[in-house]
Amino acid sequence: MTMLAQGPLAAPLGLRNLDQIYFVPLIALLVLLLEREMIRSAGGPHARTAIRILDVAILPLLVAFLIIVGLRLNQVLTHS
Amino acid sequence: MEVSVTSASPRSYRRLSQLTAGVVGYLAAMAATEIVAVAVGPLQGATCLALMFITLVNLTILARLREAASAGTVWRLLAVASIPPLERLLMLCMPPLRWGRLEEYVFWSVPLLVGAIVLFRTPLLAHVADSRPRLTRTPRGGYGLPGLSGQLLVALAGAALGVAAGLQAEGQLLPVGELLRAAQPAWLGIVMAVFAGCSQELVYRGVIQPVATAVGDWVGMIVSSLLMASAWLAWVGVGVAAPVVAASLLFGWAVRRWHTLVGVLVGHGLFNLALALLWHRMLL
Repeated sequence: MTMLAQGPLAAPLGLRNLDQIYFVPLIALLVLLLEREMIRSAGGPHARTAIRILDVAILPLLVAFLIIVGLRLNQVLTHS
Repeated sequence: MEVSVTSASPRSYRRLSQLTAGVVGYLAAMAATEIVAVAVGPLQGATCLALMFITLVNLTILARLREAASAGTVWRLLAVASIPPLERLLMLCMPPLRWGRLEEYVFWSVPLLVGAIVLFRTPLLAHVADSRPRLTRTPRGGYGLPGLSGQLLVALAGAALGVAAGLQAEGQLLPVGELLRAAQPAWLGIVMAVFAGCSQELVYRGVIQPVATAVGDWVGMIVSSLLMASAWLAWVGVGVAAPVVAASLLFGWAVRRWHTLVGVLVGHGLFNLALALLWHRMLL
């Protein structure tokens, strides 16, 4: 256990080294996803319109999130 | 929300005042976020931009539901107004990468391009389907490049303004061999810089400008061009403000004149290419 905690698997993504600014688009994405789910579960005649608009807003943030994660993984794998 | 200058009814004045107040308030909010990003820090600036983006998206939903029965332009304006804060948010939050020796925040343009492609397929541009700029299709439905010689001139002017910006930023013209040697390890960064320029054109000229000009005509074109110039400057630096603003206004005028995007896509790509090649310190 100690070996694992001190080895490369202890912090595989090095989250402590991540700048806080990377979490801003992630939090924005979570807020919009949460709102989408709340609207979907509430239903109603206008839910579909609202969800369509939210989907368009969510997509770029989702792509940005995937790019950030991919680049971070690439960085970790090339340095390990 | 249609603003007609010829109709002088009190209602049209009220709508014009509402529109002006909205545009001024929006530009003030964008300027305030830039001041926060520079004076306080990028984290705080990004947080302000994220809050602004989420607010505008929700205002778009509210306006869309309110205008469900009519054609409505308020929700369209709010929808396109949410794009610049998103772009600046992505610029601030994308991890800086070293491609060769060019250190730039190059990847913000990828999510922006994906968003633009999706927006082309939404009802956002349905009311300007006949007049909105296209890549190769003419407004009448055929295929071709309207104003080919003009488009070529615009592309060359973009390259010339890029050279001017590069010389202004660098202060001297280095030998071509030295420039090419310096650019060699940074080729991928330079390609991404050109790609970012093309993405910006697709978003600002393909999506924002048609909606803005449908409401405000020349004023809409100028406002959308200045918004693009501000985002462009935030990326490449305020030291090259004059060529960037000139290029942005020129591209806005060209798209309004010929309703096609090819000339400005090439022009913006050549601008960024010239800037990346000539600005030696950008490559160091």
